[in-house]
Amino acid sequence: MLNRRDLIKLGLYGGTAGMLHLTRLDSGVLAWALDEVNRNSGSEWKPLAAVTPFTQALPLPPVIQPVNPSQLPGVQIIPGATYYEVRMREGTAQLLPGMPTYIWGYQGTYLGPTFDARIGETTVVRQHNDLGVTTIVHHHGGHTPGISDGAALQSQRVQPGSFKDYIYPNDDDICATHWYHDHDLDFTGHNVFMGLQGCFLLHDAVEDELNLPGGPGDPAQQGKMPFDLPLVLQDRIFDFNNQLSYNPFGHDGCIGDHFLVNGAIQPSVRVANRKYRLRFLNGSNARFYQPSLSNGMPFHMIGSDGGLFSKAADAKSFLIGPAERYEAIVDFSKLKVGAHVYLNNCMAQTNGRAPDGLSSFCTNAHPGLDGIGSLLRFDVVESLRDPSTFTPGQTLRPDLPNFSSRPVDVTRHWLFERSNGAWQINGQFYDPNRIDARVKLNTTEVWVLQNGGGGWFHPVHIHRNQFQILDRNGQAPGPLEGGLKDVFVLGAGDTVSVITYYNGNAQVGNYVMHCHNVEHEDMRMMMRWTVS
Amino acid sequence: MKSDMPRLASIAIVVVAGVSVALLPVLAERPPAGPISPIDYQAYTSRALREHFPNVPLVTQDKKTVRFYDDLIKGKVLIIQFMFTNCEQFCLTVTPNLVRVQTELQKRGARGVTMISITVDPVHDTPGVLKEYASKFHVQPGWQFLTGQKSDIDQIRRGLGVYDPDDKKIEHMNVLTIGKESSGQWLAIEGLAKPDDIVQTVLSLTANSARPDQMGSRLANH
Repeated sequence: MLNRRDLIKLGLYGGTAGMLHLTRLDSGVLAWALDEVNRNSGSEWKPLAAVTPFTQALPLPPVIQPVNPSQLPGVQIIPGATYYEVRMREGTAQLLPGMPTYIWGYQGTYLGPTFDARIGETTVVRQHNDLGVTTIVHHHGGHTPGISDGAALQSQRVQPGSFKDYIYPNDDDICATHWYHDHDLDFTGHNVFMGLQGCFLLHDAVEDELNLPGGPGDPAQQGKMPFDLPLVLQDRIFDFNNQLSYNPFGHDGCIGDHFLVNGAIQPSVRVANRKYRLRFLNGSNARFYQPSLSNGMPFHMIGSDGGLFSKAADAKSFLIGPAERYEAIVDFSKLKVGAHVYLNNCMAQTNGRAPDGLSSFCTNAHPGLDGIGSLLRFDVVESLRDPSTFTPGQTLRPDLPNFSSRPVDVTRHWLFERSNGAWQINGQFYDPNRIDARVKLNTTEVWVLQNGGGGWFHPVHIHRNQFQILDRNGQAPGPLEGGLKDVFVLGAGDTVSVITYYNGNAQVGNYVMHCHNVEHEDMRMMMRWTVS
Repeated sequence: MKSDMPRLASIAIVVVAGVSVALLPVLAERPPAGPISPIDYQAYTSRALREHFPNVPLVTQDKKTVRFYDDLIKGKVLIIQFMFTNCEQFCLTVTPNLVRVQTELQKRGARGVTMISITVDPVHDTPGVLKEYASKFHVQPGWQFLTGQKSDIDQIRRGLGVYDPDDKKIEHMNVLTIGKESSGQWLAIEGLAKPDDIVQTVLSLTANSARPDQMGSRLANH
């Protein structure tokens, strides 16, 4: 006899609301889940089905394919531009054993497709909102005109059933690991938690010349994993029906007890005994991670938010706050086929206030709420020739822009603190109708970002530009903060000074700066600024 | 297992009825671009969030006993404020700010937005004291002031994430909780935000996502 699960698979589940659900599998999942909730209300707590760690293969979000602009009625025609069409819609993902999880995604997948573009190549993306909620798409890290930046403004909202064409000139200084994610006013936390995130990679000729793993000179074999892997780290909470359980009243920051890499819980990835380029992206709402490798191998760190470093630097582990990116070369060439290496998180965190501290023993196959344990397993399964080149400590980008050599036109101070029951910037909450700074084009500004205390961590993100860190608490930045960045972790009591040059005649209009603990952001720890 | 049997039977009937009545027309009119069907998610989220709204008794300024979830939250779009009448800090400015919000909402014809203010000092703030407070600020109908058991009110604050045991009275005092129960959409905003900003936020919530116009016609077509 058919059970509910079979009915779902067949798309025939009626559920409580009856016929409507016949239209969609996705709706069927929720009807099933709602039935379960009603059936179980008042009964005893029921545990989630546990995932056996390292049994799922690391997913690789597909690279999105361009469309002909003639398929996009009314789109602006820009010579040389590449056109894409994306639908933000509902979908399901098999994240846990048993009932599928209902998600919101770009193209309906839990982690959206990856954009691959060259510096200087204009990308036009038509984003359709097929969801029932408003959305705003932010190109995080991009040097983007205000109209396409996707800041949390009413005017930027894409209404359900509507679409918006985002135009990205991609005239950034250097290649980088950017991303795109939802930025809706007041609802970013919920929307990104449901899956509205994806990678946006920029490449350039200098990067090609370096011949790093996974570059044009080091293509993947047919059907196998590439040697350049994005690793999107997320923590999530599920209810007992395997559904994503977002708490809109958890203002301190959403901390999960399930750990996903590229949209799979604790997956494993088959690698060859050679060099890989790993692009770490912290896509969690409020959690900080400290990745390390179980066999003590170093990460050869090669880049941060805004692209490659001037020089590679080794690290046994590194702190990565919400929305930060770090790139590393990991060399498995000394390992035998059959070896396993675990990517561990050694930073404990149990609430949105701040990380709790480092753990010295972090090989734990079943991380709990504190997050200590193995996020991913590398399985060395074969020997492969390695045509890529990389030497630890090598020079990467001698051409990095040096904003700090420019005369400073304006210095602004921003105090991030808990006050009046939430978190403010310079004593004010975000008001989308108020402009807090007006930046003039072709000027150099220093922004001093200060944490007002109370023990809260704030990963501060500034839109539009990449920045150079001048100092952290009066000290020159360490090797991992010497490159270009757009997110700055303000630990308790930290003060970080950053500098940039506001060039780009197209990059005018409205932008924001905010805490990228997205629950703090939704509580309006944000300010609006303009460039003209 | 035992209790599952009749359920499965009833599901089978629904499915059979559904297939015969609705499957063909539904497939035929299925829009190619992916339909907007927020109803299920909203219903599910709304159900999942119920534990955040304890159904405790509260007393209005008119001495009427109401239940927090059943009478104040369920099916409503609302603004929730916590206050106390002796408050000399935020509430003194937040309440007049909310009066401007109420006036503006009425001016824009936004019907069905409920405002509730719950005292965190219920021993002092009796219904009579609250009634006097409301009339002092010229509060219009559609905005209730509530008192009750301190433990019940604390439970409500914990549910809404606006409770801090270290600083019971002041902490989160000026944070307004705004939401729409039927869709499970909730947000928090400062009580001293510009009335225009608060009004825009509430209006985008009433306009957003329910889309009863569209869903109504879709349902009717089925």
